[in-house]
Amino acid sequence: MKKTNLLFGTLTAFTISANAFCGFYVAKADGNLFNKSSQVILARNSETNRNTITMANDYQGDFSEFAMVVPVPVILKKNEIKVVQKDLFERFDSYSAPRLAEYFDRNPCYQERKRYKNFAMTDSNLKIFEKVTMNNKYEGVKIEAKYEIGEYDILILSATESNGLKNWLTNNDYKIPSGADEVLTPYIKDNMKFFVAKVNTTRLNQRRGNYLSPIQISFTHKKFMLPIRLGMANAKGTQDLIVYTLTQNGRVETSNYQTQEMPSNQKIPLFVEGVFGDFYKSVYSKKWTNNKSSVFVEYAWDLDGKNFTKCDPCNTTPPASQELLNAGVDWLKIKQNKWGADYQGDLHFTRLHLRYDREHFPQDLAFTETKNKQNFQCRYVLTHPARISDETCDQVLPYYKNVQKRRGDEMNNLTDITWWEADRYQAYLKKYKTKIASLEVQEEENKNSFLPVFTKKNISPQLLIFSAGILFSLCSIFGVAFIKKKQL
Amino acid sequence: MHLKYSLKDPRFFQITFLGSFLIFGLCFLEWQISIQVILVIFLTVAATQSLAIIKYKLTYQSILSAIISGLGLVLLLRANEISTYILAGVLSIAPKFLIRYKGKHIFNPVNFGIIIAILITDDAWISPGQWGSTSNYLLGIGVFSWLVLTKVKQLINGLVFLGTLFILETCYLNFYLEWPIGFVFHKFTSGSLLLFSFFMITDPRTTPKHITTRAIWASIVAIISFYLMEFQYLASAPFWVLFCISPLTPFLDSIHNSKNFNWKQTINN
Repeated sequence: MKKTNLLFGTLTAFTISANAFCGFYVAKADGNLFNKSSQVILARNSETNRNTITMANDYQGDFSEFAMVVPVPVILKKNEIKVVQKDLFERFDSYSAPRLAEYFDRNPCYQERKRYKNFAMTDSNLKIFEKVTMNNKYEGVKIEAKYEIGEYDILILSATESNGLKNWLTNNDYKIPSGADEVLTPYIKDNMKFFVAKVNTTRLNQRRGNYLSPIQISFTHKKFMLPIRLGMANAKGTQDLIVYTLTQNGRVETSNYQTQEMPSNQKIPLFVEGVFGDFYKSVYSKKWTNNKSSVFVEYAWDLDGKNFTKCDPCNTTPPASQELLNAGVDWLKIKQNKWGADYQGDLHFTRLHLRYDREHFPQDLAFTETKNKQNFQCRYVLTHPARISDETCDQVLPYYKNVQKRRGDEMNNLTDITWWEADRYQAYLKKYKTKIASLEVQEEENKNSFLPVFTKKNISPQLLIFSAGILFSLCSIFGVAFIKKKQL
Repeated sequence: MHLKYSLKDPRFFQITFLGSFLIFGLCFLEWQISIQVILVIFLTVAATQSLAIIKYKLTYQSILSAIISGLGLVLLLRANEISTYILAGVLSIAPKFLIRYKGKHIFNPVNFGIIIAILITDDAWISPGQWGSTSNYLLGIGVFSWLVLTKVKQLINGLVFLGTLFILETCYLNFYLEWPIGFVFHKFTSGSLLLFSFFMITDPRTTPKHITTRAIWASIVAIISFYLMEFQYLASAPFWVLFCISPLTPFLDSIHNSKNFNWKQTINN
């Protein structure tokens, strides 16, 4: 029996990809980040109400076992269903992923020296379900359309009764969760149709590459939403969903849940660099724990053809016209322009991340497109202190004190936005404390030593005036004594 | 005497409540509203109202209504440009004096300001999802106190509106579509909806005068809002419905007349 991916179940692959902004490529690493996560690209033309939904498919089990069921508002035509290249998700993910920017202090004793680097944390997904009893009756179920698209066999079903649909699905090897009829009924009564897909292994084997292609569906409807309730029917615990929206006017928000921005632009300690994935996971977990019914913005950018800065810093190159077209953006004019884009027109990119369960997300996600064109990115900043070999320069001690203060702030930020505890990272603060203490001891010794002025490279004006005063007084005394002696 | 008179004015309660809600939103709901925006809105509404006070020789107390309008705008309207907020501020006050019929202004000031700003600037929007679930408790307390403390019978509008909408939503979502009842309750956790119900549709100056007409009027707003929200997927439907239906008020008044409302009456009562 097929395992069914009811929008949106899941599993995760996590990669750290990296590119430079004004700098160089740094690092790439793999690992698991958000367990059970799905990704969806949602392009919406608000003038024509044309919606294009692309669903990532990182299913990693036996492909012949794969199946999916998605409620859709209309009967889809053949040309409204496509398979697209899976790298589309990788591109959108790496473009909009939370990023780490790295800055280098200049040596306070030397010329300015600046370098930048950054790397991004990206995320992807997948997922599954279990079993249900067999039954032979499927009243009211009608196959509205049957298509073969890419490696998938697709049916569009309409139904008048949830039991009939449930039985049809189970008898046709679609393994749906036992609690599914609770949500199937409202969809049926709301006149929704069901897009169901299975993998045709013969066609899959004729194609190169051992993976399942993302499925894309397009339809014209006023509804701007994603059905998530079906996927929650029998799911235990939480699931993560990342939604990339492409719209004309501005940032997308959920209209039935609060949309909040993730903490961003914080200076964080240097030791986070090697564990950025874990760090961001903790940031997300803390934010989510305090706002369990919220949807979080991880990226929002005005990608208007005329906007020269399409990211800052850029994890990777911004999406090009062909990629946008592949994602369903049908309102752009493809034309090279002088602002570095190969398209013209309004476009806003929003990346929303939510962790949902039955309790905190009782409704499907309803979106609203605002006019908010403010850019936002999840960006965390590392600041490397300068390497100073010669500590005799006057500026070194104040600089070290600054670094010490900054490290204190970085630790405070870290404990504010993550679950990490400062006590475990005391060595980070200790390093500069020790340096400052040893410099202060040295300075104290210098002050107490004989003729301290000559040990320093610079003599202060006060000391010069004081010395000149003493010299003048001595001269005067000797002068007066000499004149008196002469008079005698 | 003067002070006692002033403190009895229910508008003070409204200002305190809306003000504390704004502080709550800024501190706990992470609303991205800058201090400049708040200042600009208040300066604009105060300046426009002051001009009206001079021109129409009104009492200085009418500035309270302007402050309420300012708070309403800060709570509900979002825009990219400062100029949009200024425009909305002026539009929330000026029509009270310019668009009148038989001594009564037709449009709710904040509603008019928001809708016209959205229509003409291409820069303004309402965020129906900006209210976290925690905000309901505060709103609930505020609304309850409002009911207990004030004698403004206009609250009937809000109650009829919410009641009608709740019945319609429950019948459709729970009884017909068979979504769990939690689905229906979730709809009513929207702060925008509650603010609309108790601080916009209840405005005594822009609603029909007679209590029966007011109840009918509020239920019409609820029925149309329900249709637009459920079948046209317009999340901020009540604001649009109120705007479109406001010109009907004089017509309803002509059917069922009553004395014009005056804030002074509630104080004297």
